Amino acid sequence: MKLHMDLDCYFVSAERTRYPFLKNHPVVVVKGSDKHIFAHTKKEGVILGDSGAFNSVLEFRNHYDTGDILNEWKKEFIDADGSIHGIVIAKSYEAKRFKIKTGTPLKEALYMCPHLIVLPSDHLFYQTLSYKLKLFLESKIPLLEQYSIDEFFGDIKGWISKEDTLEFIVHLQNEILEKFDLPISIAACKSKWVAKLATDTIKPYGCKVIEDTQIQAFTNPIKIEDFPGIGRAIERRLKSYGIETLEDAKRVPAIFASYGKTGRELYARIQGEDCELVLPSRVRKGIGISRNFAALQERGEIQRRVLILARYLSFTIARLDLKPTTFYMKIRYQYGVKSAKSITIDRLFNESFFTKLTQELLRELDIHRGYKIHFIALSATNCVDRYNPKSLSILDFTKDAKNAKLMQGLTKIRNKYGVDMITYGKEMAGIL
Amino acid sequence: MKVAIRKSILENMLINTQSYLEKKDLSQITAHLFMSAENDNFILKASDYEMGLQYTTHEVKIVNEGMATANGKKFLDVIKGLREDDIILETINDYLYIKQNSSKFKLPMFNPTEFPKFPTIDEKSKLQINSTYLVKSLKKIANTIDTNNPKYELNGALIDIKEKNINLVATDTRRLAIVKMENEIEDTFSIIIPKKAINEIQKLFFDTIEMFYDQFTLIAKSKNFIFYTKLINGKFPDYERIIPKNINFRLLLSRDKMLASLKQIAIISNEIKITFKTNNIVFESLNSDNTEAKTEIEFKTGLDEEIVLALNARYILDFLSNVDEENFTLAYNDSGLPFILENNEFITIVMPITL
Repeated sequence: MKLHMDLDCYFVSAERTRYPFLKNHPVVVVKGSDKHIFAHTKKEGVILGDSGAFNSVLEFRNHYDTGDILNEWKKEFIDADGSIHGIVIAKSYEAKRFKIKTGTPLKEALYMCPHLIVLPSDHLFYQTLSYKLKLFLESKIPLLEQYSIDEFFGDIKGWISKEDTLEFIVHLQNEILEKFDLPISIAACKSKWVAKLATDTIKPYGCKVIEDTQIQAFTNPIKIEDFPGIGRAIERRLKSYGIETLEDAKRVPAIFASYGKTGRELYARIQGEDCELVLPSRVRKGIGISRNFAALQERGEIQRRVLILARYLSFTIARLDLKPTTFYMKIRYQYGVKSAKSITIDRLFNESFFTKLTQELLRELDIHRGYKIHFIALSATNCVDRYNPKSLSILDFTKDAKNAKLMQGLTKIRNKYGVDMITYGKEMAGIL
Repeated sequence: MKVAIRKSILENMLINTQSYLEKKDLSQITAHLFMSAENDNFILKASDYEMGLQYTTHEVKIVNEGMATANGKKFLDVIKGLREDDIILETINDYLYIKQNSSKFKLPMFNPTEFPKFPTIDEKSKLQINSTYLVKSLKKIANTIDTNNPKYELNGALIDIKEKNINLVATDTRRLAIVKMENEIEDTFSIIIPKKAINEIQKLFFDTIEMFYDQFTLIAKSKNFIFYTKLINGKFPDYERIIPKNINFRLLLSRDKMLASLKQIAIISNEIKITFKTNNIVFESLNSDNTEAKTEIEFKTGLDEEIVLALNARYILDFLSNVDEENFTLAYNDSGLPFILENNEFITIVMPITL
C-alpha cells in the first residue's frame, strides 16, 4: 500500500503549534512582499538543507514581535495611506466557513469575516517544521517521498500488511498530532494518485484505506478537474466531449493516448493502475526564485533586484551542485502585463555567466519602459546529469571552468559566513 | 533569343544550378534561371542573392542573341522528359518556348534584366592557394560547421591566413575542427565562408580554378563556370585559445577498429563511454531507457591507469570519415577536459559529455 499524507491547513496549523491560542478561531496566513531580500540593511538569509523538491533552500529570518503577534500583520499589510494589501495563502477551517479561499485578497477576507485573525507568513518556520516532520516520518515509513512542503508519499509494502494498514495510519496520525501538534490526513491505496485524491475527501483529520476492489467506485464520481495531472487544456478538451467525471474519462482512453506518453500515464493514474513508485529522493529538475514587491518605475533598481535574485539563485544552484542549461525569466508589470522568455545555453554554469545573462534577459524582456514592474522570477532547469548527458560549449569552456571554480570558492565562504557575506558592488547602488 | 543545344549538355547545366534556386516563393525572380546567348556562348545563371553559379558553354548554335528566364525546376523537368537530341529554346512575347521535333512547351518569363547581377572580379585580390587542396581540406571540416546558430559567424568555415600557415577552422560550439596548410600567400587576412557555399563548392571543383576575394565576396572561376558566395561578416571565436597547449597522453589508435566499435554502440546511443585500459578498449552506451550496448577491442594502450571518456560518438565518426590513413591519434589530458583527435594536419578538439 502507498500512503498519501497531507497536513491540514498547514501554515495555520504550524502557527498554532507556537501560538496555541489561535486554535478554534478563524485564522489566515497572508503573504506579503519580501521586505528582506532587496533591503540595503544587513540580511539574515538562512540556508536550509535540501529537504525536498518544493522547498527552497534559502529563507530569511523574520523578526516578528511574538508578544504582539496578533497585530504584527498591520505593519506588514497596511500601507501608510491605510490601504490593505496581501493575499491569503492559508486559512483555518473556521475561516473557510466564511468562504475565504487561498488567493483571496486580505482586504476582501476582512470584509467576509471582520473578526478574522491575520498572521504574516513565516516560511523559514514552516520549512524548518516540515523538515522535522520529514525526519520523523522517515523513521516510521520505509520509503518516504516529500511531495511538497505539506505533502508526503510513503510506501509501506512489505512493512505493514494490508489488513493492518488502517490501524497503522490511524496510529501514525495520532503520533504526529501528539508529537508535533499538527493535524494530518492520511489515505492509503495501491496507487499514489488515488491516495492523493482520497486525502482531499477526508479532510480535515481523516484516515482512509481504499482497497483494490474499491478503487473504481471511489474514483468514478470525481470531477476531472480535481484529478492531479489534468490541467486546464486537457480539462477543456475532455469537457468538449461531455466528459465531466473520471467515470466518463475512463471510457475514452483514445483521447488520452492522443497526448502520447504523458497521456497514457495519466490514463493509468485515473484507472489506479499507474504503479508509480514512491521516490525517496527525486532528481531535482530545476530551481527558481521569484519575488513580488511594490511596483517600481526606476530601472536601475530593477536591475539591482535582478542581480540580487540571480546571486541567490546561483548560490542555491552551486550548493545543490546542479548544472542547469535552460534559463527562464519573467517580469510582471502593473495592469497585469507580463513578459517572459526561456533560453537554453549549453555552458558550464557559473555565477558570472548567470548574472550577466539575467541582465541581458531583463533588457530584452523589458518592453514597456513606461510601466512599473512589481514581480521578477528566475528559474534554471534542464540540468546536465547521468540522465541528461550533454556536451557543453567548447568555446567558452576555459572561461567557464575558471568562473565555476571561483563560484565554488564563493560558495564555501557563503556557506560558512552567510549568503550575503560576498555581494556585488552594484547592490549598494542607491545608498551611496 | 533563339538557340539550339543538345539535351545532355543543357540537362547537365540545369542539374548543377538547381541548388541555387529559390524554392519556396515562386514569385521571386530567383526561382528562375537566367540564360543569355551572345558571342557564341550560352550562359546559364542561378542565384539566391547569397551565392550564385554561372555556367557557360560553346556547344550551342545561336540563331538570335538575347536573354530569357524560366522557372528553374520546371525547366529541368521539361528537359528531362525530352529525347537526347537538339532542343530549341526561343523567346516570343515574354514566353520561353522549348521545342524538340513535334513537342512544344511554353514557360512564362520574368524580365531578364531584373535578374540579380553577379559580382565582378575587378579589384578583387587573387587567392594564392592550391584550390584543389583547399577544397579537399574544407570538406574535412564541413560537417563541424554549425547550422542556424544566432551567431552567424559560426555557420561558416574560417579561412585564417597567417604569416606562416593557413588554418581552416569550423566549430559547432561542442567541437572545433582545424586543418593546417602551408602558406604561399604574403598578406594575412581571414574570411568566413558560409556552410552552404562550402557544400556547393565541393560539387564544382573538378578542374583548375582561380579564386578571388574581397571583404564581402569570394569568387571561384574556371573555364566553364563562375561561382560566387557572399562572406559572413563577423568575428570568428579566438580558436587558438581552445587548442590545449599541453597533452598528458597520446594514443595511436586504429581507425577501422575504432570505427567498427563506435558504429555498433551508436545504434543504441550516440552518447558513449569509452574506457581505455592497459590491454583493451571498452565501449559502452550511455542512455537511461534500460537499453545497453557494450563491446570491446583488444588493444595495447600502454597505459598504467584507465582513461575514461564520455563523448558523442558522432563527433569521432565525423572525424574518422575524413581520415584516409590506418591510424589516428587521440590526445588526452583529463576527464572533463577537451580532448584532441589528430591525423596529420587535420585535428578535431572535442568537448566530452558532462554527466
